[in-house]
Amino acid sequence: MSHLSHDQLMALVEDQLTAALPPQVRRHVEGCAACQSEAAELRALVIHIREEPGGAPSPLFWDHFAARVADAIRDEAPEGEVRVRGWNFAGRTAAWTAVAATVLLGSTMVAWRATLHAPAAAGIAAGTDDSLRGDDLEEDPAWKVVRAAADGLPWEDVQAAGIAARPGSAESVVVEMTPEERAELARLLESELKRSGV
Amino acid sequence: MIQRTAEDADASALAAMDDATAVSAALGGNRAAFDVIVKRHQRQVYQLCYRFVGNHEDASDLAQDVFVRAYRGLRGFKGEAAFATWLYRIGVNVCLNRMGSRTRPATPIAAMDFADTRAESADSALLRTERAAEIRSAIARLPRKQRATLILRVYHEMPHEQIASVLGSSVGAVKANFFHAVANMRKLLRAR
Repeated sequence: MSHLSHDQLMALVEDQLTAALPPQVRRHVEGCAACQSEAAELRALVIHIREEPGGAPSPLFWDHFAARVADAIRDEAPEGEVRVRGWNFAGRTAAWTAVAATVLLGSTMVAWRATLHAPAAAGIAAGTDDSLRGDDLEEDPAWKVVRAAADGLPWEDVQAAGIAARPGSAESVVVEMTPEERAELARLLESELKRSGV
Repeated sequence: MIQRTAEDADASALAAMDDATAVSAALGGNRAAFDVIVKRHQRQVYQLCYRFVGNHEDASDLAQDVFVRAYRGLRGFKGEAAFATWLYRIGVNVCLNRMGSRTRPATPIAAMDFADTRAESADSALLRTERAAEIRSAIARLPRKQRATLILRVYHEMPHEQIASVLGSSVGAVKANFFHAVANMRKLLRAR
């Protein structure tokens, strides 16, 4: 018979020939030095190729790889998730985190504007009349919106969102605002709440 | 403490899930379930990518890309093939597509010596790393299908049928590609 086909040769190389091999093929291999030599050479080559060790990253790489994939997935903003300024949040709680971020950013901006440009109220200029500001604030409907947005917000979510603020930071900024500025902040918050569908 | 115990129980339950169940959980919004999938298959996927590109930086980027694509296409996994086969299919496609674009050169010999060579002489260690570099270089020169077939067969020890499923070809084509890949490797290595 003729020499082994490619399939038969590779089966021989990988030691896959079994008793099921047709007797005439087995007899041919036993008596054909060329096929034996070819199979032996290719087998040695496959073993040689297999010995190449491949990549061996540090164990630390594996510790962090899943987190790296999770970050990449989060950055892709899949459907049904909320994307806010580069952060992606899923679910109602996280949407509140987004609102809190808006509160902090918005209030800081408004307070900065007020400090630099707005005509200072007597109490603020003096920097001592905290009791008056506190009394007015509790009745202020705009402040109620801010409180409602922040109520029930888990601190872990705020930290997870990377917002480095101490508890009370938003309050301390907001109490510095005039009623008009608080009204504007409330308008911005309500608009953000509607946009987020919360 | 109670919360920690509950988390541990959740983690154990996730780790015990088979791939299909973990996929269903991930599709239901359980991100931790996809983490389990990643951890379960990360080494194989990374090695697959490394065999194609020959350096850690590209291999790790590609492996990440494979899992991101898998997550994005998770609804496309119908369970007709094993999840690993489906993942390998994405991996091979990502790697083959990357072949057309520029990749970093394979890791130079000097930077490759990760294996413990304390019991080896300096000469034999150098020889081993040189041979490894030659093999990687030869594999890199194989035609795409032959390259993929050789990698899956030799390094991942996949049966012909599974390779056919990964590559979307027939078992006969896989066997032919494997033979030609090995024959071409012989030519390429002899030419050095």
